[in-house]
Amino acid sequence: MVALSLPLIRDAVIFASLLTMLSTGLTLTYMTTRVPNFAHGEFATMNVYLNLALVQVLGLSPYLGVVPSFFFGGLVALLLYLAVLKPLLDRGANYVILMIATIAYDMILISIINIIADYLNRVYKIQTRLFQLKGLDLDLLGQPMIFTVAPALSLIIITVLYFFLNKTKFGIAMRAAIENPSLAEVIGININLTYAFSWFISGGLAGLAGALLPLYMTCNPDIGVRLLISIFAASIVGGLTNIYGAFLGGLLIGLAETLGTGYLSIMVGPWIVPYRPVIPLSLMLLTLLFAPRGLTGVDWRKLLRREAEA
Amino acid sequence: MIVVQNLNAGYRRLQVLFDVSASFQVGKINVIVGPNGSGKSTLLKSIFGLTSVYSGSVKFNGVELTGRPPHDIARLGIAYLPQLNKVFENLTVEENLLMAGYTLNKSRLLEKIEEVIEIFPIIKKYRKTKTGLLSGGERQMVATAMALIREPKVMMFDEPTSELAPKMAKSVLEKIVELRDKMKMTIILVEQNAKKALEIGDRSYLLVGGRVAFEGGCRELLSHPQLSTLYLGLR
Repeated sequence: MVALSLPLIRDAVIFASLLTMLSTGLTLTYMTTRVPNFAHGEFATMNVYLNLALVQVLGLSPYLGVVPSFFFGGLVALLLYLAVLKPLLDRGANYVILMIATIAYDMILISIINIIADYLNRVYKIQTRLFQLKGLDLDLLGQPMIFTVAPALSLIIITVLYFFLNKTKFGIAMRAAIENPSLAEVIGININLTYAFSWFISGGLAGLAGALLPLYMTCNPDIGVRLLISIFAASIVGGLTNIYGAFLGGLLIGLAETLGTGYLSIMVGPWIVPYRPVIPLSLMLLTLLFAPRGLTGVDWRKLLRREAEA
Repeated sequence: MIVVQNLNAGYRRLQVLFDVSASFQVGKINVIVGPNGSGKSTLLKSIFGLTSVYSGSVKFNGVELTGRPPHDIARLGIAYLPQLNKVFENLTVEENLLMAGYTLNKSRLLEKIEEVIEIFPIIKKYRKTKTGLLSGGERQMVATAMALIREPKVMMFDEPTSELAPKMAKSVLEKIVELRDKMKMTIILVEQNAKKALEIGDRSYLLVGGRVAFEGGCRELLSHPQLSTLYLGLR
């Protein structure tokens, strides 16, 4: 048995926290517009580079970058909805078409990210490939500040989302539009506005995660695609129709992926590290095979009762 | 008053209503009966702008309704309670009522919610309960309360008692009578259970094969020797 090591736990907590911000967003837009969004990883990566530019060119603290990143991420997502998905939905496109459209948007974003990375590198002489910002993190009680900020922000976000969806009129209207769009429309809810807002929030949350990512890991223009595996795994484990499920899925996948890879590399050797995505993919597969509606779709009470009886 | 004139309507290419004319009277219960597939629900949907209208007109107090989107018709004071999916099941009763008055201002809306809850004491204790957990009859009450929040002048019910236990069906129909008597509301009621509906109604229309086969008083239709046996299965 390998002893728990603090750096490994720290990495796991930070990654799990950032993953919750990504999985809740992906799930939210899936719930409203029923689109599996393959561009979600790039919503984060765009803001990795926005924050990199803010930090290295303007000299801002990396934590200040979360604010513009939230709005920029929101706008990138809103543009996908308004310019691409909405016109397709109006024409009655099915989810396969919509999914392919998000892949196309993803490719455009990847190109833009590469252009930005090269531009920053040539004009400002910033390292834009395989870089980190760990060295710029602040110290809090002898630990990097991201160790506190990421989980705290993750909890704040899920709490705010809960209050928004349950205590505000617009939030309740969003739930109504998710459940029964035609009834919502008949009683005067502008469902298009609620959908557009869900895309903005989703992109905004991805932006927050993106801004913080370089404080935790080595970033490159292609990290979005790799993140996407974890994001989808977390959302599917969570059930894809429940943002609290997506939050739990994010925690679970984030912890399992980081701790699993960490322990395996200690036990069988570091050659295993590049195979890291196998962990979220296996958990996603197991969920689809045995609990296709995810963690929140399982009737836990019934299951526990059956266990007790057996 | 809602006046339907020579209406031909249906779903895209499938015509269901043929040359239907009817005038629904103010402050009365107007009952639409007929066998399955005779176009009863389609008539309600056509009034509410949910079908394809090929020709003819639907006028509400002189205003043409055909060609208007449903949310616009709702704003003119017509409420439509569909047969299925008439409440948000994942929302609590209170949230449903809040949504029903989405376009009203907040203080007025809160007042209205208290008012309609008084009319349906049965849903009072379920304010914080998810609507999906209520029985069919209770859901019908919530749907009716939701419609009332917007203070409609006309309420159209599509088979409000289908799939309800007899006792619950009875109290739903009693509520509809109450809406006419106490709130002077105009009701258009589509019912499978023709006898019960005709007993509480004032004016009746019998639809057969998408055409009006009879128009007149409810008592008249109930006691009509051929029509009541042939189409309504009464004796």
